[in-house]
Amino acid sequence: MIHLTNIDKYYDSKFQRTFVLKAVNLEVKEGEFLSIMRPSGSGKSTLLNIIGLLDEPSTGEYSLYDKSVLNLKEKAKVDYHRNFMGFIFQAYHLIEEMTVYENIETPLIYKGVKSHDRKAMVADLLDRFNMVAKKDLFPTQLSGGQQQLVGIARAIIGKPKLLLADEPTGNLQSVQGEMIMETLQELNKEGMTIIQVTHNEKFAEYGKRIIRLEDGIIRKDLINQIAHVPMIN
Amino acid sequence: MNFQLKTTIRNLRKKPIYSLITFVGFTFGIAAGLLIYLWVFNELNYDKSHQNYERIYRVLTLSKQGNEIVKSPGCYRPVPATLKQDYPQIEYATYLSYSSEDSPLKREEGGEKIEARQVWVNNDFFSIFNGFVFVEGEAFDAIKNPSGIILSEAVAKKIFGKETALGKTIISDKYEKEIYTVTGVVRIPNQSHIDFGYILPEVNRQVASSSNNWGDKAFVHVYIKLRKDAQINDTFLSQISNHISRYSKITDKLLFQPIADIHLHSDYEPGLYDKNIGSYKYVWIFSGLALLIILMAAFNFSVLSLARSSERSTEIGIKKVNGADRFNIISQFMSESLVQTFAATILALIIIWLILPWFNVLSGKELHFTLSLKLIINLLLLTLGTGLLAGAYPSLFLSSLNPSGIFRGGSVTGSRTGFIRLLVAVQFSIAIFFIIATSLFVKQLNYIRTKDLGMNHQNIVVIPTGLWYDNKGFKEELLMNPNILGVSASVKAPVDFPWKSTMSLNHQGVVDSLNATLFWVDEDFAKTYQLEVVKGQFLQMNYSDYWKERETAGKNRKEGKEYTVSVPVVINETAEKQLGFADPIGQRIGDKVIVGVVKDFHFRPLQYPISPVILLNNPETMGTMNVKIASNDRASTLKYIGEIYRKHRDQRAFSYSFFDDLLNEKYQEETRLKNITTAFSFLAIMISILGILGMAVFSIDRRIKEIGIRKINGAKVSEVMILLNRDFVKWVAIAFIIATPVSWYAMNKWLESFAYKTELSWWIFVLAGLLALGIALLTVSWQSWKAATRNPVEALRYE
Repeated sequence: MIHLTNIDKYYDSKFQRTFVLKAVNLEVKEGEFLSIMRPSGSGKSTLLNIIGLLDEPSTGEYSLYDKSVLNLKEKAKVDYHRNFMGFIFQAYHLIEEMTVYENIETPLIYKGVKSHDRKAMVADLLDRFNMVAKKDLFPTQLSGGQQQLVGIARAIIGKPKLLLADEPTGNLQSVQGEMIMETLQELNKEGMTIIQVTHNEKFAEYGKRIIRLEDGIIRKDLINQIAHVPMIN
Repeated sequence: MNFQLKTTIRNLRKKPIYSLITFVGFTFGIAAGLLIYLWVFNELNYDKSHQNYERIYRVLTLSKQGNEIVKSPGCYRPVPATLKQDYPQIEYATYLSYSSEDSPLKREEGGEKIEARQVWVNNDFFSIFNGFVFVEGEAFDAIKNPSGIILSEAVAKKIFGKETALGKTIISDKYEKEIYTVTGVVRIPNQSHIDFGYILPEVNRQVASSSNNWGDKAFVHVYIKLRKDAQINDTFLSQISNHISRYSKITDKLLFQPIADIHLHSDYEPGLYDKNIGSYKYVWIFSGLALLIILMAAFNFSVLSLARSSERSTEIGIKKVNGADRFNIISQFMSESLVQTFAATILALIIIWLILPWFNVLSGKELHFTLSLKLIINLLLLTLGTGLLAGAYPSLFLSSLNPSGIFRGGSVTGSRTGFIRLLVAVQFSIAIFFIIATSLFVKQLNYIRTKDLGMNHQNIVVIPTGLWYDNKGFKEELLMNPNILGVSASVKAPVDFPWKSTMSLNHQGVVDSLNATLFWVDEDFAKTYQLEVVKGQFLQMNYSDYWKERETAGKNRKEGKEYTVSVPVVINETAEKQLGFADPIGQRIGDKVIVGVVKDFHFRPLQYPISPVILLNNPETMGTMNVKIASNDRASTLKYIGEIYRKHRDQRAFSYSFFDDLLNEKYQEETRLKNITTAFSFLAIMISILGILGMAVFSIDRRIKEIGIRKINGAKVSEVMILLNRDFVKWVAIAFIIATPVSWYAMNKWLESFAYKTELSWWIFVLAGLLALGIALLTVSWQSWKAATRNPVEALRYE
């Protein structure tokens, strides 16, 4: 599904070129659950930005389903955001002025889904995440774990093929974190391709495959044999 | 509720201070815009109440006076009839022949006499001016009745109160007793340049018997209405132009002026009886001022939206990765400004409804506020325009933000501080411009009020008498009162006497001409107005001398003897200079002999330079009495004058004006401009205070942590305040630099319309700059004081 070939990302300053990503080659197949492990500042947001079509690489090739997605027009990018990928963030990034219900509904509005269908779709997800009672609350009235659940609900309401998660558990206590990871795993089982960035070893293990990114270079790429058995400590 | 609207309102509520600031700004801006719209709309709709007004024209004359070509609304009475007869393109043609002074009217049964302006018209009058609606009677009958009189509604009300006037008998006894029957009452719209007290139709005996010749044009205005399909081409216009010379020896050319242009686009001295003549200049100026205010209000919104862009970039990023395209984001910010402008419009409507009476006093108008479809449409356009203007830049900028920072925790670089500062600086420069303009208007009007006019016009009561050669008894009886210091008859008060005549003169064999104003005054004029006689003496000739001279001249002429009348005249210094006589005393200008020279005095408003004037005595022209009274006990002196007046004028109503009030009337446009600009300056200052307040709240908010750290490290309150205020001082300085040259240019342009003007002193600019600085500092200090005195622990607690 995703092909990254020889991706470089660098910034030129007066006297030197600073590489954020260097010669990154990455293939992600449909239905994969990929964890990208990294120490801070290893270019993970840049990588997510590029995969999420929010930034362009300096050199290299990027294609989705064998179709190059570099230099896309604004309209095409919006199309991918509306129909192909969903985003989850460490800081949840819910819109504070909107209720739980409205937050989840937002992508559907941008997609142009009819009001009647929107209602049904949001209700389904609220039901699935056990949040029906909280639908009229504002994000600040929820716990972190609940907020992240709303974030996930919002990310998947448009039925994307690809879910990009940036430290989804980074701000959460471990119990809540586990709940979120289990939810992601479940989604993956249903066929959703997931790429998550994390520096938490334990949560990385939820992925079927783990790669390590250091100084913009992929150092390790291992298939997680024990993907379905989280380590107990 | 609509999704967009709902989130918009929540967004506005989230930061109530910012929302309030922009909302109040919008309200001020839209209220100002709407007021000016009402005013401009009123100005643009003069004389449009007549059906097919675009086919109605006033016929103007171009005449040669010396070396000048003078355009004038005065025309000749035979013109309408001959035009209509010669040109099939002309459907109707009429004249208005005004009487030179008001006439007394009273009802048959008695009651108070009132004074009203008489005008004669022909049968076509109401076919052209059907905007003068008959509230009683009917045009067709009214115009055909030889003893009929058509009253204006105002006059009818004065005579009959609430009673019907139609069919009642009215008596006028100016020279001889006239008896009329009221055949109609017409309403003259407010927006009309034509005004009259009552109409006598052409079939009236007086009108019919008066000479209908190519005589004096000063009192006659001519109007025509073209046929529907008439072509106004060059041939037609050139034929019209030379029309008069085909019927008379007069060399005047004729030209047409569309009636709708008279109010704003008259480039000639208005006629004696033209009412409410305005100027398109002020329409432009006021529209410009309103636009500036709206611009400032829009900037407030732009500034605050941009200032908060880093705060809102996360939200934009979230929306973008969730599928919002640029249009979604733009429409979100647009709807934020539009929701505010629409709410502001509603509030502005209420405000205007409340302040309209006050604005009417300020602008000297009778503006009404009725929600017509046209007004609603324009109101919507104003609201939309303001909202879009305000939201345009921020929404374009904010929607262009790249959401790629969203993984790093949200914040997006570049909150356009440079642009924001520029906007605030522009706002302040507009405010400074307003302050400068107001100061200069006040200064110029002050200058006008205090300028030495070359005469003493204080405490002079001006009475329109119509006594003509019967002035003597009235004068003598007035002077018996010790509080009456001087009495002089003249043709008019020397407030604004524009009409010039060209006189040819024979100077040592060389024929020359002098274009001068003839001003008729009696022998006491110099004493009453304290004119300074610099050479020779003032007019000494009294009435009996005048008649004796005329008699001799007439007798000699009859006998075939050569006898030139010698009319003694006094000239002013400007005339003396132009004439260039070594010793003017005794020199002749045609039949006039110069007996004296007076120092220049202003017989016209200060827009006009002093021009040559010839003072001469002709008892037949003395329609006005100038009475100088003592400053004490004015009320009883006026009462005394009134009594004497009524005694000499057969109990006619006594009306008078003070010279100074008449003079002030001449500066009405300028006074209004000053008043409106003052009000607008106030608004502009208020809006820029809001702008800078918003800016201060925002930029101090951002530096709260820095302030806390500085304080922990020992910074004093004053040091923190200086730190925070310094930036704003710089902006005001930049605003001052922007405003100064623009104001300098605009104000000089305005001053050019005055022949006598005050200086655009440097201190006005300094004053405006300091005032703006003071206002800015005060506003900012309020916020920076709050920030600087805060306990630093509070600011740092959450870190």
